Formats: sequence, C-alpha cells, structure tokens
Amino acid sequence: MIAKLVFAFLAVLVLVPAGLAVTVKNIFHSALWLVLSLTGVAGLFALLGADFLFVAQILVYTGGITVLLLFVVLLSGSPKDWIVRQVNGQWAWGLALSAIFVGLLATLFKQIPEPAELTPAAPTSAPLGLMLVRDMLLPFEAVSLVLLAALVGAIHFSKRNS
Amino acid sequence: MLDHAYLIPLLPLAASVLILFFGRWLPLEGAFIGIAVAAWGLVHAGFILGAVYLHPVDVLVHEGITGRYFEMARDWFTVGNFRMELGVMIDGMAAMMLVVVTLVSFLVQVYSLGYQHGKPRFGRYYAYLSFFTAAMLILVVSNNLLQFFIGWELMGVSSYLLIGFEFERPAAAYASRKAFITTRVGDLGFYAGLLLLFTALGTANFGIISAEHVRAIGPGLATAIALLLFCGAAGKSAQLPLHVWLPDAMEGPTPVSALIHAATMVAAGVFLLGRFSYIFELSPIAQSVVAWTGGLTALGAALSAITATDIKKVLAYSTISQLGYMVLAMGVGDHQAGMFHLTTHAFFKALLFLGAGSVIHSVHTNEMPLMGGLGKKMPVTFITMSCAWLAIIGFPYISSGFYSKEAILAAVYEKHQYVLFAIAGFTAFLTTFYMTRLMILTFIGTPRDAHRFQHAHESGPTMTLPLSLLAVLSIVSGFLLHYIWPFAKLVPKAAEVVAEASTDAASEPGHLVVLGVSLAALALGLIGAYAVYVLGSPNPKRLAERFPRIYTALGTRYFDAFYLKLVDVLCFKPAAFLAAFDYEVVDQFFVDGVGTIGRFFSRVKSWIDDHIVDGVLVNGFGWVALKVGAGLRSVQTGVVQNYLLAAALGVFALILWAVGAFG
Amino acid sequence: MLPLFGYTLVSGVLVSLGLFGALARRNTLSILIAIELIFNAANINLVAFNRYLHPGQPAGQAFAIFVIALAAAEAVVGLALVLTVYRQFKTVLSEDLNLLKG
Repeated sequence: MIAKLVFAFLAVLVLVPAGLAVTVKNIFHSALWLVLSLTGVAGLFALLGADFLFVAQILVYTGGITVLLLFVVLLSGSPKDWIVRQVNGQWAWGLALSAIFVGLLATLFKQIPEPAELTPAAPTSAPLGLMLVRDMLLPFEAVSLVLLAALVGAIHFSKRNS
Repeated sequence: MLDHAYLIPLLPLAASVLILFFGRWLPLEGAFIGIAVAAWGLVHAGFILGAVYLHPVDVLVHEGITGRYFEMARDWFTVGNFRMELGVMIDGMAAMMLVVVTLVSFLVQVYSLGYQHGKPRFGRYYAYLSFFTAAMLILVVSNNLLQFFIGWELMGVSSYLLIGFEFERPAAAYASRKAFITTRVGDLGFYAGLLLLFTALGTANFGIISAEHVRAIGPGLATAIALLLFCGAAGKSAQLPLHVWLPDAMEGPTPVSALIHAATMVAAGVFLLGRFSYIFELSPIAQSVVAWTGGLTALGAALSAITATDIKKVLAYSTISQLGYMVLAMGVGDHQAGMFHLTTHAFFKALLFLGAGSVIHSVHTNEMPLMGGLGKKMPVTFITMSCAWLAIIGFPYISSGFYSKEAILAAVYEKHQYVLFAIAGFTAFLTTFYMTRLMILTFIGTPRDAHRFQHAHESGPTMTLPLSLLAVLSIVSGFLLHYIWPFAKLVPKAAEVVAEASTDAASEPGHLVVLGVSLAALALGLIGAYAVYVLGSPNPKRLAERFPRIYTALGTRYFDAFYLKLVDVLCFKPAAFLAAFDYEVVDQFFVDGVGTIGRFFSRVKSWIDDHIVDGVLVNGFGWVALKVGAGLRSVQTGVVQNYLLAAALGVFALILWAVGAFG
Repeated sequence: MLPLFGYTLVSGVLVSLGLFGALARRNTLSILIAIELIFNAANINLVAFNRYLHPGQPAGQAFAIFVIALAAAEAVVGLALVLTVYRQFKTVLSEDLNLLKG
C-alpha cells in the first residue's frame, strides 16, 4: 500500500518535471526541471532495491551532468535568448511519433509476464563491484577509456583558438 | 531484167545515204552519185518498159485482176498470220511509172546542178532528191499494202524535207509543216482503209487477191474502204478539201516543185486509185465521190489560177486542176485515161516548172507583173515552155496533152456524166486562158521592170538541156503513146468501160462532141487571153475594180482560213483551256497547295521541334531533373533534428516490423 | 508487490517525452536534456527487469552503471561541442546550424 503511494509519488516526480523540461521556454528552467526528474529516477532506483545506483545517480547525474549543463547554458547565449519560442517546426511530427511510440511500448510491455513474487532486496554494492572487476572487466576498462577520450575531446573542443 | 528490178528503188536509197554521209569529201558534194544512179535507173526502167510492151506474156508471168504482172518478193518478218514481205510487182502501170519517175528525177537532178549552184547544203539537197526518188519507186514497185504505205509515208517525209529545204525562211518552214500535216490527215483515212482492206481480204499481197476474193467484199465495206483510201489520195494529190498545201509548197526550190509537186509525188494519189481500182469498181457511191471531187477540184483550182500573180502559184493551181482531171477520170472508171494523162502531165508540167525556174533564176523574182518580153532574152526557155503550153492547153493532135485530155473528156461523156462533162469543158477553157495569160505576161509584150529585163539571160546547158528533152516529150509522147506504143497495152481498160465504149478515137459521134467541145474551149481560151492581155480589153485591172468581191474571192484562200479556224477551235482553244486549267488548278491549287501544306507541316514540325522535342524532351528532362533534384535536395535541410525525425520514423518502422505488425 | 508494468510504463512515457524533446526543441541544449531523459528511461527499464525478471545477478545494474558513465561522457562531449558551435556561429538553435543544407 505504502509502496504503491511511494511509487505513484516517484512516478509523478519523474514524469511531470520531464514533461516540463521538454516544454518550457526558458532553458534554464528546463535544466532545473531535469534535475528534479533525475532525482525522481534515483528514487525509483531506490524503490527497486538498487542502492548503489541510487547513490551513483545522485552523484553523477544530478551532481555532475546537470551542473555541466547549467554551466554551458549560462555560457552560451544571453538570457534574452531564453524566452524565444523553443519548439521548432516539426513539433507536430514529434508529438505524433511520441504518442504512437508510447502506445506501442505500452502494448509491448503489457505482454511481459509478471513474476509470481519478488525476492527481498539485498545490498548490491558488493555483488556489483565484484561483477564489474570479474565478469565485466573489459567493458569496465573500455568505459574508462571512453571517459578519458571524452575528457580529452571536451578539453580540446572547449579550448579557445589562440 | 525484171529480176533486178528491185535495185531500181534500192540504189537511189543507197545513193542518198552515201551523199549524206560522204558528200563533203566528194566532188560536187556527191551530186554526181545521185545523177548517175538516176540515169542507171532510167536506163533500166526503159528496158523494163520495153520488155513489158514487147513481150508481156513472157515477162509478166502472173495473171491478176488488174492485168498481167511480174512479182518477186522476200519475207521480212511474220507476226501471227500476217506475213510482212518486201517485194517488187511490175505490171504495165508500174513499168510506165518507173520510167516517168526516173526520167523526171534524172532531169531535175541535172537541172539542179545549174539551179542550185552556189546555194547552201548543195549535197544534202541531192541526198534528199535521191531519197525521194527511192521512196516513190518503193511505192511504185511495191507488191503489198504495207510496203505501199511505207513508200507513201517516206514520200511525205521527203516532201517535208524538200519544201522546207531553205528552212531559214519562216514561210518555207511553215509550208513544209502545212504540207506534211495536211497530207497526214489524208493518210489517217488511208491507213484505216488499208487496215480494213487487209482485214477484208485476209492478205496484204496484191497478187494473191483474186477476183473471187474481191467479189466477196460487200458493197458497203467496199464503199467504206474506197472512201478511206481516197482520203489518202485526196491528201497526196491535193484534191478538195485537202488541196491547201500545194500552193504553199511552192516555197521549196523550183526543181523540187517540178519533181515532186508536179510530176511524181502528187501523181501517187492517182496511182493509188489505179492500183486499187478493183475496189472502187465495187462501189458506185465511192466512184461518184471521186469523180465529183476531181471535177470540182479541177474547176476551183483553175478559177484560182486566173488571178494569181506568182508564176509558181499559177503552175501550182494548174497542177491541182490537172490532178483533178486525173481523179475525175479515175472516178468515172477509166483508169487508163487517168494514167495516160498522168504520164503526159508529168512531162509537160515538169517542163513548165523547170522553165519557170529558169525564168526565176534569170530575173530573180516569181512575180509576173515584174516580167514581160522575156521571150527575146531567153529563147530556149521560151520555146520549150511553149511546147509545154501547147500540151497543157491540149492543142489538137500535135501535143501530148491533147490525147490524154481527150481521153478523159471522152470517158466522162461516155459515162453520161454530162454535168461533170460541162465542168470539165469549162475548166479546159479556163486552163487555156490562164496558161496563155502566163505565157503572155512572162514572155511577150513590153518588159514591166526594165532593170530586171536588162539582167535577164538565158540559162546554162545544165538547165536548158533537160528543158529541151522535156519539150520533145511534151510534143511527141501523146502521139507515141496513142498510136505507136499504145498506152492501152500497158493499162488495159476495165471490162465494163470497154463494154460500154469503143476504143476507136474518131469514128463515134460521141467523140465528135468531145472533140468539138475541147476545140471550142481551146479557141475561146486563146481568144479571151489574147484579148485581155495583149489587146488590153477588157482591162484586167478595171475588171478587178468593178468586181472586187469576185476578184478577192478568186485570190483568197477560204480553205486556209477555215482550216485555221478549225484547228483553233479543235486544238488551240482546248489547249489554252488546259493550259489555264493546269496553271490555275493544278499549279495554283495543287502545287501551291502542296507547297502551302508543306510549309504548314514545316511550321508544325518546327513548332514540334521547338516545343516538344526541345521543350519537352530536351529542356523538359533538364527541368524535371532540376525539379526532382530540388525536390530531393529539400530533404537535405542541414538541420539535424529533421534527420533525427527521419531516423526515428525508420526505427519505429523497424520495431513494428520486428514485432510482426506487418505480418 | 508493485507490478513490473508500472516501471516499464514510466520508462516508456519517459522515453517518449525524451523523444519528443529531441525532435521538437530548437535549442541544442534542450536536445541534450531530452537525450538525458532517454538515458534515464533506459536505466529504469534495465533495473526493473533486473529486479523482477532476473533477480540474484546484478547484471542489469552493472549495465545501468555503464549507461550512466557513458551518458556522462556523452554529455561532456556534447556540451563541449555546443560551446564551440556557439563560439563559431553565435547561435545554439539547431535550425540555424544548416551548413549541410542542399
């Protein structure tokens, strides 16, 4: 019972700001709404028993990425640009496609059979860590390479030409 | 002798070819070839004539309708059941004609040495003369219908060539055309008659035609054939209404006139009537037509002769008139008389023409009003022409013409054709009148042109010798052919005529009538001419003024005007109409129409080329390519979100496909 | 017990919202925001399937960790690009970045 309420609250917390994020004119507000939505996602992770992910989501997404986003928002364009129309010419197509997509996904997901009962959630940090360095070592290292590449790339791009 | 008779026509033919091609390298341009050949022909013909006279039964081995004859032929080609042959048939008529033709031809050629001397195309002239001689001889000796026709037509060609010999003069060219075309009209009828005859008798060969064969032709068919054949005779012998070409034919050189248009070619029509006499005997209607044509022609031509001032024209009309006499004789059935007159006429008419030629050569004019008193300056010519004059007026007993003309008048009288007899008698009076007039105006009296008279001179021997020979013949030939070597042996009278008449000249009372009439005509003519032209009363000029209509009627050529009108209506008017039609309708409408259509199609085509080929096919493709390109290019907006949308749609489709939405 | 369908539905709606945003927003930064939403939707799905359908192994969560890491890398690079573009063309509106037009 409580779970259902919590879930409903978290769902709203995820979806409403997400909808607002892609709708409002002010991009700064849009970024802020994103933060809220991401926090809601973290909550969902927690509800699903993924404790490590819950924390990682907060740290990386809301703490890192959105901050970066906000930095760039502020660095590119003046506030007067924030109030122009933000929806482009093909929004109708997008809307239609999204609506149909939702319908499609709902139909598809409905067909996934529900399991009979849930096992109780256990702390996931240790198994997760172990899996990462044992079974998924290669992807783990590859991701770190990617992060390195991204870093180098970003630095290169954001350097001013001198 | 007769076995080589075929050479008589062939040698002149060869001579004409030789002279034509090689004359320029020969002395006298080859004239001597022609003369030599003519002389040889004359000698040969003389021998043949002698043989025919003396040994007819031995020489003329075949018996035919018109008498005995000799025949020799070779086949040329055969088409179906028609056998074309070239051959020689000699009977009395042909033998006489051979002599006449070769003699006159020879004399004319000798005469021409002087007359044509210095004139252009001397050699060609002789070639033409020989060619004509050959043509006439081919006709005379022919033994079948087609060869006869070939000779006939070749003579027409020669006449054309010779009349128009001085073709630089438009009058001569016109005259030669007129002669050819007029005789051609007659030849059409002649050819039709020939074809009918061939169809009726089933053969073209004269000899094969037996008496039974001829009887088989019904009177209607015989009339048709006879009249058609007479068309040809009327054309060639210048009878009414096809006589119009002969006066114009005087444009040719005078020796030509003597040979062709006096003695020989024009006589071919009469010869034709003799050859086909057995057809004419079957048709009284045809014979009437022939007789009346001859009589009226004789009268009409004589009337025209009294007012003519050109000496050759007078002689031309005289020829027409005398031919009328011959045709008249043939028409009443006495072809012996006709052929007899043909023979004597050949001699004296040739003499008259050659004499006239001598005068013309001397005073350089044809017009008698410019002559006069030439008898003193040209005695030989005067004397010889007087002999011819005596012959033509029929001076009793001493001229050849007397005997032949008497024979004709007697024949007409004995056939009880009194109207024709009166016409013939009156014509005899006219003949005497105009011929005496000619002699008076030319040779007697005071010269009317002093300058010409001064330069007048007698002609050379090449001209006077033939004149002399012909003069002798004019006088004696009648006597000879009547008493010594009777013409009757050559050309026997037809059976009916013999039955009706007597052959003795002087015993019958009928013959006294004839003699009386002819003597009266002669006397009146002489007196009249003497009165008018020597004594001067009645004065011819005042007569002309008092009766201007008659005078002009005599001189005017009504027939010519009529024929011209006929040709104009039948030929020129339709031709003009057709020409206009051709221009207006065919040219303007069709040709220009086709042109307009062509231009229209060309415009259409150019429009198509511009708008469709260029516009659609060429530019169109370019335009389409541009438009399609532009259209397709619009996809490339450069805006990433558009691409994203497209990609999203594609993914969407893929998902649908993956879940089996598309079946 | 909460139905799986709830989580997957949330994920579906979220991904649609993100798709809409990516397709319909003019500002490139807005597009990046929308893309983050898509990543997160995927993560929710991963974790939910892991919990409900494959309990006992943390493979889904590991996958989600990787997604987060890669999303971060991508965001970094994307933002750097936006900055550079802004410096070059003085605009962040995607419809103005049409040099490839035609």
